[in-house]
Amino acid sequence: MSQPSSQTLIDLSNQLAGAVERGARSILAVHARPQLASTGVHWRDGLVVTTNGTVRRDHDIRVTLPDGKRVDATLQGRDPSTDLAVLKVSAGALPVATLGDAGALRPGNLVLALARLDDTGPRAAFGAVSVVAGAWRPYGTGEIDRLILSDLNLYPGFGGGPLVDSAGQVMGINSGRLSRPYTTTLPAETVTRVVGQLATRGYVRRGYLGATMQPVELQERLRSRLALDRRGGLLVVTIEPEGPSAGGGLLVGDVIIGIGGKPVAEPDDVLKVLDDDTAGRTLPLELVRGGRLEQVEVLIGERPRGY
Amino acid sequence: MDTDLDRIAAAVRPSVVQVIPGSSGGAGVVLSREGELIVVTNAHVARGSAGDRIRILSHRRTSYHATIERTDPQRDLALLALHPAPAGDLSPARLDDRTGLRPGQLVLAIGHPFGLTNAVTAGIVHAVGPIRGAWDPTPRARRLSWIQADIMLAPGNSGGPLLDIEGRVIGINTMVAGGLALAVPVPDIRALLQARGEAIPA
Repeated sequence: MSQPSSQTLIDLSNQLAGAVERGARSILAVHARPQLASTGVHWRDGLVVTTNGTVRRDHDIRVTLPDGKRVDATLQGRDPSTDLAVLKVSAGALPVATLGDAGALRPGNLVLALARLDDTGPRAAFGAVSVVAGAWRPYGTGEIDRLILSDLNLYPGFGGGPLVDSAGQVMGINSGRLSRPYTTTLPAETVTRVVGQLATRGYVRRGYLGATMQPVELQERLRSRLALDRRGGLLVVTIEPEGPSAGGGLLVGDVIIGIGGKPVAEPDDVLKVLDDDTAGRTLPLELVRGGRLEQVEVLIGERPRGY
Repeated sequence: MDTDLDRIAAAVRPSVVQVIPGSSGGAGVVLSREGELIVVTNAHVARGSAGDRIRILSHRRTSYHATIERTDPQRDLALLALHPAPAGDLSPARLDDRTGLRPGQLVLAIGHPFGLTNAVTAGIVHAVGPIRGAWDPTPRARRLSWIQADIMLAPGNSGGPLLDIEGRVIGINTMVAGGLALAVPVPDIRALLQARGEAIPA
C-alpha cells in the first residue's frame, strides 16, 4: 500500500521533537505549591529559574530532575516585579539551558513551550510568536526588556517553563500570570539580569525616591521664559517623611523635569532611571520650583522589597 | 506544505467514517481484520445510537448499517461490523505499532467537529502516559495511558483517528481534558481487534 508522505513535513516533525528533547535536558519539575508542580529551567550552574507565582512556600521545596530523581532545593530569592524566583539545586550532571537571542524572534516564528511535572517525561505545547515589541512593566516596577506574546496554550504546570525555538534554544520563561489569551514570555536577557541580582543579593535592588508624583504639562509662557525644550514634568504630590527625597530637600509642588541628567515626564521614566542600579548614589534632580529652575541632590534609597 | 498536508489527509479520508447518530455525532476508523473491514470508534459514540442500528457514512456519503461486535468499556472503544460488506469507497487505515512517540512531533486529527465533516486539525504530541494536572477527568482515566496531544478537537472528533505526519493511526481520539486531546493508544486498539469469544453487548 503506497501512501503519500512529505519529506518536508517529516523533517519538520523530527526537528520539533528534537527541539523538545534538547530543551528538556535542562528543565525540571518544581514542587513548591500544593497539588500540581510547576516547571523550572537550569539557568546557571546550580541555579534554577521559575516563576515567582508558582513558588508558594519558602521551605520544603523539592525538584524532579530529568532522570526522575527528586532532590531538595532552597529558595535563593524572588523578584515579584518580574514574576521570577531562583532556586538553588545541587544539579549534578544537569546541563544548563542553551540560551537563544529573544531579540531575533519575529511574529510567525514557530515556538514550543516545555514543561516537566514529575518523572513521566517532558511535555510540549506548540504555536507561533504573535507579538514582539519593546520594554514594558506588566507586574509593577520591574522592567521586562521585551514583550513576547505567542498563541500557544500554556497548560497547567507550564508556568516557569521555557519558550524554545525550533532548534531547542531557550528564548525566555513563560509566565502564567498574564497568559490570557496569549502566552507571555519573559525574555532571556531579563531573566539573566534578574538571576544575576538574585544570585548576589537574594533580591533585586531598585532605586527609590520616596515621593509620589503625577505628570503635568508646563505652561508655554513658563517654558519659553526658562528656555525649556520639554513639554512637561512630574509634579511632586507627596513626600515620605525621612525618605530619600525629604532628605534631599525636595518639596511638594516641585515639578521634576530631569534626574541624573535624563529628562523625565512620565512615572515610567523615573522607574527606568532608578532601575539602573542607582541605590546608594547621589543624583541631581532638575526642578521647576516657583517658576524658576532649581536643582536638589538626592541620595537615592532602596525600594522596599516586594514592589 | 499545504499541498503536502492535503495529500496526506486525502489518503486517509477513505479510512475515516461518520457514525450516526452518536451521542454527539462521532467518527470512526476503518481497519482490516484478516482482510475483513471493520470500524473502531468510541463506545460512547456507538452507544448513542438507538438499539443496535448504527448508521455509518463513508467519506463519499455511502451509507452502511453497523452493529456493535464488542466493546472495551475501560478504554471507551467499540468495534463495529458493517452490513453489507463495504464496497470500494472504504479502505483500511494503517495502525502504527511502533513505540517511541516523541513529544513535539507533528500529529493530525480527522473527524467531524460540530458536524463539519472530515475536518483536519494539526498539532503536536504533548506527552505519552498517564494524565497529570488538576483537571483530571476521572480517577480511572488518570491511571490509564494516553497519547496526549496539543491539538484542537471538538465533539464530533470522538472515535476518529489521531495520525502521525505520514498518515498512520497512533490513537483513537476519545476526550478533551483541560484543552488537551486524549487518544487511546494503538496497543489497546490491537487488543480489541484480536479479542476472541463472545461478543460483548454494549
